[in-house]
Amino acid sequence: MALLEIDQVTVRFGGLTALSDVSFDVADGEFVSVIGPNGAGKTTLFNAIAGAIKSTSGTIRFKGSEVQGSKPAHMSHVGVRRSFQVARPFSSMTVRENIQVASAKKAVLHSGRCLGPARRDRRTREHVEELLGLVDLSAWADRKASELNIGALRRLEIARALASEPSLLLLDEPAAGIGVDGLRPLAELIKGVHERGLTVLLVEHNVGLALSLSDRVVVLDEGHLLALGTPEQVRNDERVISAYLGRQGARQAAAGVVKGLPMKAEAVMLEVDGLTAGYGRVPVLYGISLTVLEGQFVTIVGANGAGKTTLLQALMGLVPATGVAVFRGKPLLPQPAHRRVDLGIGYVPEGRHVFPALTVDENLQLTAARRHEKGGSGRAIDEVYEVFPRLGERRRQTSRSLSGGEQQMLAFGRALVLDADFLILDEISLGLAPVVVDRLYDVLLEIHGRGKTILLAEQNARVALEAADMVYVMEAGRIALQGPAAELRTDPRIVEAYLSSL
Amino acid sequence: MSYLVVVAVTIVIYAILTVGLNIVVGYVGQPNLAQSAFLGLGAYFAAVFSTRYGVSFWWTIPISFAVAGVAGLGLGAVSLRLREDFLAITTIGVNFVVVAVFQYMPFFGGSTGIYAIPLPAIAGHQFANTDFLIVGLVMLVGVVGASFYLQRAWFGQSLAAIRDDEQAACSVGIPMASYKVAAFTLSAAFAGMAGSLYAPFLSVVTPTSFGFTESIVILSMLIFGGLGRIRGALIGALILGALPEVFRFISDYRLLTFGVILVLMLRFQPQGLLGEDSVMSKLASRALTAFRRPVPSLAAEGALMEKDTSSHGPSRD
Repeated sequence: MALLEIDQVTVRFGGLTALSDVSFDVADGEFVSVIGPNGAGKTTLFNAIAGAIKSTSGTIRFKGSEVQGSKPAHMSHVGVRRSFQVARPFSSMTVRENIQVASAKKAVLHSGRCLGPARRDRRTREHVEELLGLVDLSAWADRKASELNIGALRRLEIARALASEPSLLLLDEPAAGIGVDGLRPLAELIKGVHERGLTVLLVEHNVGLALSLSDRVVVLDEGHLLALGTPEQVRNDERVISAYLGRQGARQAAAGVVKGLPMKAEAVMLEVDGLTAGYGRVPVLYGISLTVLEGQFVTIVGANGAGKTTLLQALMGLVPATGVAVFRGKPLLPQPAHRRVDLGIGYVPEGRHVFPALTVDENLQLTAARRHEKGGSGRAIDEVYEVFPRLGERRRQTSRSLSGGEQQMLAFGRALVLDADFLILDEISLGLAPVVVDRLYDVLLEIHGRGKTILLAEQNARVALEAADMVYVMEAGRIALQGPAAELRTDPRIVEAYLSSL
Repeated sequence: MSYLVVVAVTIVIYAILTVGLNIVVGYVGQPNLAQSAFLGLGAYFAAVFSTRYGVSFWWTIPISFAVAGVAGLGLGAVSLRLREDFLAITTIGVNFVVVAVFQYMPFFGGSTGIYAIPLPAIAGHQFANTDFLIVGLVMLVGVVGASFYLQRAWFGQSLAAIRDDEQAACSVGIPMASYKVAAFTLSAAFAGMAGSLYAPFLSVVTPTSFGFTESIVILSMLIFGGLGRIRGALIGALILGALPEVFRFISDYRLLTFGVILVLMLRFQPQGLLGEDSVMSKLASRALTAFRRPVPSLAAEGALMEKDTSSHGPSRD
């Protein structure tokens, strides 16, 4: 009998179906990975199993009994323990206390025995020391968890999950934020844990890591089960490759426009060298270097979590960064974000970020006030309405009431009214219908044709390869591959970069 | 002498309140701006039962403890649905509601409150101020002992886990809801017990004595001394309780002084006087480690984070 049975599980959030009719089993002692592109439903599936969210329909059975809709604490007591994608240590407690408090059994926590001293039990103490040794944290046992770096925190979370001797370990992207050097020890640790006889279900963006560790791999795409099989089967599955490299045919027309353009490559627009950035203790970028020439269309591709957004945010001054970034001969990093806009950089952030309470008109006017060259803001706004007639129709509506695609148009339009020479765009296709994406790319190519320089981050590799002059492939915070788009289009290493990154 | 005893009893009552409040605010990290309402519930029930039904002082202690505990249980249940700012505002509301109940329900004597609460007696001997001090100290020792014990128990460790990260706490099986409610119940019950001493000690209870500002004073003491630490709760009650008596001129500007101290404290020493990593406790531990063997630095060995990258970025969540 399978340890975990997922049977036709569907999860809906409002109108959005995050997970649709997914079924698979995990046998006792097996190592199963769940992979899939961004938005595939991996985290939703994970949370449904861990009890963090309730599935809309379908059944989840653990050791034969139905557990869908159970609370996280209950799942923990029946033997399902998890780690978190963003490390969640008990930061005011020591490393040892973190593991110790997680070792308490239900019989203790739900009875008067919870009033007993936590440190007295010798068996618990020995168990905690053994786990500390397993994850190589014995030397730091008395340190506060808040002092640990991200690699040590990942190990602590694994030890904490193991503390109650669960039968199923759920790992939520343990490699996120881990540099290349840290990956191999982490993989060894996870492998060691599995070899102790534990069943593991791993959700991972790092496909190489997932494929190398697993007995079987579940591939999700847009909430559906795309493929299920051994790592070897999955690696060679046409559907999986196309899910990771983008769908065919969507941008053929757009590609035609760009092919006719001459490549203007006289002056350097942006020069980045050794750029490093991160969030708190999590380093995200490790010394990025890239060059954008005037009039070029440069695309940064890479899986979710590769650091694309952080790179663009660092360039815009939204994330603190060190290193060198020179824009038209001026150092960029000492400038606050709004000054960078004044230098002539337009920015379309990931996730739109329009001002929800303002009308479409007001959103555009607010930005037009910061135009690189003063005056003519009214005409610039009218031009945006010409490019996106939908926005013109809705100019008096608050942007909150717009659809996702319209909001993306507005975010785009906001960058356009600046009349900046250099546009930075972050994932403008995210979560939009193909028709809308096509429209946005048509506009992008059109303004590129008018001589604007473009730096675009895109997860959909096919689009990027079709539209761009130069392509940089990012992987785990570094530039893994770079070259003219025409060359990379046929490069087998692109496939490699997407399906194997260990 | 007698005056000093009066001050001492006041400080002991404050200390019971802060140590009790520390269980909710310090251990579980939930805001509570209604601690004086629980003191009031304890005091009022002690007053009603002793004046109207002739219940002896010794019986009013468990009554006050239980009544305030039940009220705390109610607030704890509410706290499960609210977070941070909203919970804080709700507790303020609870305090106002409790005061209004004292004021408008005839059962509690209306706005004039309840007078002539009889002095407790033991074996025919009526309580003097020193007797109040002894009983108060016994209560305080009990509350401190219970707090100390709970902090080291599975229960206390679990509360700390909930404070640090609720999602992670649930993921390791900690029954968050019942533990939070238990912490609120116990914290309020301790305040109620202090109320059973307060009523006969002052011999009068009035609604305005248990207002929201008094809750702020109690919270100020705890933050001043050091949140999460029993020693912090004690030193806060001692210093801020004694301050208006030592410097008479302060008593007219008590709230103003407390306000300024609180602002300065949160700005320059948010851990409180004796909280974790506060200047005072660092000095103390440095003095202690001078006698012990030196601790080797582990920062170079690679599991600790680099300080400079951590201090700039946005917060983790």
